[in-house]
Amino acid sequence: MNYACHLLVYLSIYTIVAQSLNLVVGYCGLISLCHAGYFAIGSYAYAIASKAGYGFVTASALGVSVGLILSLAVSLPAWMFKGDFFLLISLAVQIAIADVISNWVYPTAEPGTLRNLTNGPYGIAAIPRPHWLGHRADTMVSMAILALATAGLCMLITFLLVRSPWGRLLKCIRDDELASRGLGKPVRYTKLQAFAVSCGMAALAGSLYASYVGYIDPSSASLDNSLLMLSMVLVGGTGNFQGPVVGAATLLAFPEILRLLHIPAAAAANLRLMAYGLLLILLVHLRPQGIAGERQA
Amino acid sequence: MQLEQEILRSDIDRTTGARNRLAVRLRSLRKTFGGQEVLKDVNADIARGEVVLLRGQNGAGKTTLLNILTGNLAPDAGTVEFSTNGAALAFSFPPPIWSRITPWGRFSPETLSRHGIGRTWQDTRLFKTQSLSDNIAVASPRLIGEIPHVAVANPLRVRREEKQLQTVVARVLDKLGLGEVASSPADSVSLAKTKLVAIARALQAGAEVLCLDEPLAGLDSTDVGSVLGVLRQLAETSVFTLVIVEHDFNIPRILDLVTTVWTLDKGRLKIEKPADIKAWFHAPCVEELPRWARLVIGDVDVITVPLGSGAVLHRVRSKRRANITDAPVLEVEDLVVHRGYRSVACNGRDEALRGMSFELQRGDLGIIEAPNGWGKTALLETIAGVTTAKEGSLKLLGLPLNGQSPWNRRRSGITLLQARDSSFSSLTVRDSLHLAGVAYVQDDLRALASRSVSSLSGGEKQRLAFTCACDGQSYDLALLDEPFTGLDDKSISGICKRLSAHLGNAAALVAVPSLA
Amino acid sequence: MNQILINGTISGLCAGVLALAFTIVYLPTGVFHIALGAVYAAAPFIAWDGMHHGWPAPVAVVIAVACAVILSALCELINHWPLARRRNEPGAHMIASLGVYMIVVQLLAWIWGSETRMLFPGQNAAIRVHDVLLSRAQMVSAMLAVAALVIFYVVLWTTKAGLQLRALSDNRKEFGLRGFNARITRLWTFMASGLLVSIVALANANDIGFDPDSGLETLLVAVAATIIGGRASFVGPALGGLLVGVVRTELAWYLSARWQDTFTYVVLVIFLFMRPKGLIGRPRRLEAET
Repeated sequence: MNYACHLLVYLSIYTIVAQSLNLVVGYCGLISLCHAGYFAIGSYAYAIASKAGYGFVTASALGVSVGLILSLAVSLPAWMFKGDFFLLISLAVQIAIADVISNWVYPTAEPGTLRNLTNGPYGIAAIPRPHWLGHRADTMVSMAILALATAGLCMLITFLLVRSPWGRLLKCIRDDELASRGLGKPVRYTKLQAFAVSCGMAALAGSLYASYVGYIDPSSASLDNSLLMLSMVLVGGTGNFQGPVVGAATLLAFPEILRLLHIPAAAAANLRLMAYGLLLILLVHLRPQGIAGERQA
Repeated sequence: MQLEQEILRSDIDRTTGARNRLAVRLRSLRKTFGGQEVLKDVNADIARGEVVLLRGQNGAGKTTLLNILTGNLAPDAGTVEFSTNGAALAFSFPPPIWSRITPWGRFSPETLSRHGIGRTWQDTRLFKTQSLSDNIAVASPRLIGEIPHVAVANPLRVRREEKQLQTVVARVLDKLGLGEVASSPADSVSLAKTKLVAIARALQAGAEVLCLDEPLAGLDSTDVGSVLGVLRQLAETSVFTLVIVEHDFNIPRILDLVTTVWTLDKGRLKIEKPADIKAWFHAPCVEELPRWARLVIGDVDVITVPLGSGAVLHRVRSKRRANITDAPVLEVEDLVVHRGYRSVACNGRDEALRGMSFELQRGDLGIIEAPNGWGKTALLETIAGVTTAKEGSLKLLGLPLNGQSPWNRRRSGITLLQARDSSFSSLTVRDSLHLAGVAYVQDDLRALASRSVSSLSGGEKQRLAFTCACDGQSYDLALLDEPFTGLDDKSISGICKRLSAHLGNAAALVAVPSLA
Repeated sequence: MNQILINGTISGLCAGVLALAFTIVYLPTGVFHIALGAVYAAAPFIAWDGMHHGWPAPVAVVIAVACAVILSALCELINHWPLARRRNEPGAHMIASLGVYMIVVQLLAWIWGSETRMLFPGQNAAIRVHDVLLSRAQMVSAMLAVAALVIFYVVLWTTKAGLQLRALSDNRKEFGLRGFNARITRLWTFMASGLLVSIVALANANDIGFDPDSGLETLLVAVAATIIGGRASFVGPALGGLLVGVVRTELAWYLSARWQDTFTYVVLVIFLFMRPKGLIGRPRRLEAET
């Protein structure tokens, strides 16, 4: 039961992540490699706020707002760059975020203070379980329900967005930016919004993760994690609503299978990443409709 | 297409005397590209309801001027003023410093579009994964559904708005005769249909001044009719101001709609009335050979083969060789040429699946005369191996070419002189000639040897490109894509002389834009 | 004072060679050869392993360089050429290249573990020239990097192969139409790129040690240097590399080594916005524009 709940929480978290990344990769047609950075930003913001005594709603709202504001770091470059150069910039943003997280540390100061915000490589431990309105998610079941509810909310928002004229406009901008501008559409502003929604949701997923695991360190902001998230979107198929859920489930199942096969943990980590690498290559070579964008009729 | 409302509005305008107000005013526009002055001093006014035809040779700057009119390109100097949508908007170039820093009121396609300046593109640029109705719907200005928080917080209201919009769009598509394909993705319908949708899209965005970039290019006569019908309707309402860029080949078809003709020549704009150029276009010279062809071959024998959609192939050979039958150098059978996802350069709509067939022998000069957008370049590139043919076969000296790389084709004897980008601009002239394996260099190029290719004038570049393509390794078939663009008469006759010398033991296929 | 400038210059020379290794593939083919990071990581391991099996050092080094060249060539043969032939969209090459990088690096970590090693321990003997201290390893790095740069530019500007490389970088379509086998030339560029990278990788492994994970970050700094220097020519990257190396070293000395990477990318983004063509940019169509 506990194991099932654990899987459910992870699936919810990564469904949010994949769904939000799909908004950028599938609907904007921009391949981004900094999503783990925003995930980690959400986690840290949540960790610091919740250790200061704030409840789940307030702390995760803080995480989302920080993610939302910092999304400017990728969405402003997205005004000018696409393809390889955007990918490169997102990689740079990813590394910069990871750098800041592992270096905002000061030996004598308390974690969470301005001098030692992230506690660097030691990470932040003992993050309290989520609590709201006097209720506390102490059991696995209540945690799973919270995660599912959050994921459900995010799915609903994404669904409403991508099916609305706003979603259509995003796709049109992806198909032909110049033509969209020629119709008087606020192309840049719309991209800004898409990134804000996407990064905000990633930060929410990060908050959920921090509250569930109770400990975070800079490895959650690693490039490997970003690649995992990108693989989820690409595996499931970009530009549609169901794809990311399928992708998240598939890729989360992989380490569990390795565990079932009794492969030692150290080798399993390498094997897992090698498999992601292979998956990326195969996807690029085998998907006839290209990597970003939509399956065409 | 809110046509009814627009007509109503025009009546009001007429009674208030606003009808003849200026819509656009251009003053001393200049634009330079890489040292080449495309627009020198362009001045023009467009009154409301006017239909302007913008013509000029390839490379004369038609598209540049259109891009400036629609905000896609900023001129180097001059002023652009619009008085549309009941308000005035003026830009002067180079822009003052404050407008470069602030994000408002920039000279951009967005600003101009919101101010009622719309455009269509030659290759239509529809949103290809979207259905035709969504292509039009997305153009509507001020949709509340495009505000993300409204889309999330008030989905019902958004849905209601969308429903109304779709009814309007359905009516527009029905009127255009596209009701049946309304939900097909834009990349699965014919070019003519996408051109109609592109016009409807620009109008849906609220265009009052509509700039059309070669609206008839690449269409066969039936399709031309349907696009022309829509253009005529727009012109007759006298609400819309049209600026039509069209190639000479299609001009006679639209001349009766036009109220003003702008001719771009050497960077300057000549303003005429349609009657002035009518005579020129009605001179019967349709089946005649281009003047330069006689320079190449002299006394000739011509076989003219129609290739469909307004294109013809003249097979020209010298009278002396008329009776010699030789093994063909190039054999083209049932070739279907693709550009992007559409097939081009084919025998019209009904025979779209049947490709083209022709052959050339030694000493033959093949001249493809086709309107812009027909797919001349795509055809030559398919023969040279840059793009692959999906159907049909190609043979050089009896050997099949299908699947061969461009470099293998060059080695087996096909050389292509591209219409554009046919030189290595970062190399020197000497390096370029060395690379092409040119042993003997003419004096005029030798004098340029140490200069960088990017510093050459257009004509010098073209002479260099011709020398590199045709005077290096030997060849059996020369493919020349618009080789005379930007050359003076002396250079043209020089090139013709050299081509003529080569034709002793080779064939040549020259693509030129057709003259009506 | 001079010490830091010299240290910076040496690391800048190495970064310049790396940037050239990236450019030599990027300019003619348009491929973001991220897997070069894996080549960078792999070369020292092969040399190290060879020496542990008792091979003489020169043999081990030559074999490591050869393996690097082959690995880079394999990237083109298996990964990029099939993709390029199908005319895939831009991001595709980079994603696939990242996949190759992950596989190789995880393989290295799996076989040899992720701790940092030294290629030839005990090279710290320093030599004093005026007021500057130089270790032997630093001098080897500097000499190798200068030699690589000189040979590269001599080949580029005086030989037929160099002319072909410049022509392919300038106009890919026309290059093929003139009868030159673009496929073979592409393969050569990947091999040359592997060669340049392995030289720097071995020199750095000798100087500061090596581990499986440092490849990508080192390469990304070189890519940043390429863009800062100007990616449309073969001179810009070397210049950018030199500049970035010097500035990073000065920064590490006067401020903190922790913020080196962040600082580099901030500078990169500023350059992309203010001067997208780099320090010595030629007017050329910008990839970023529609």
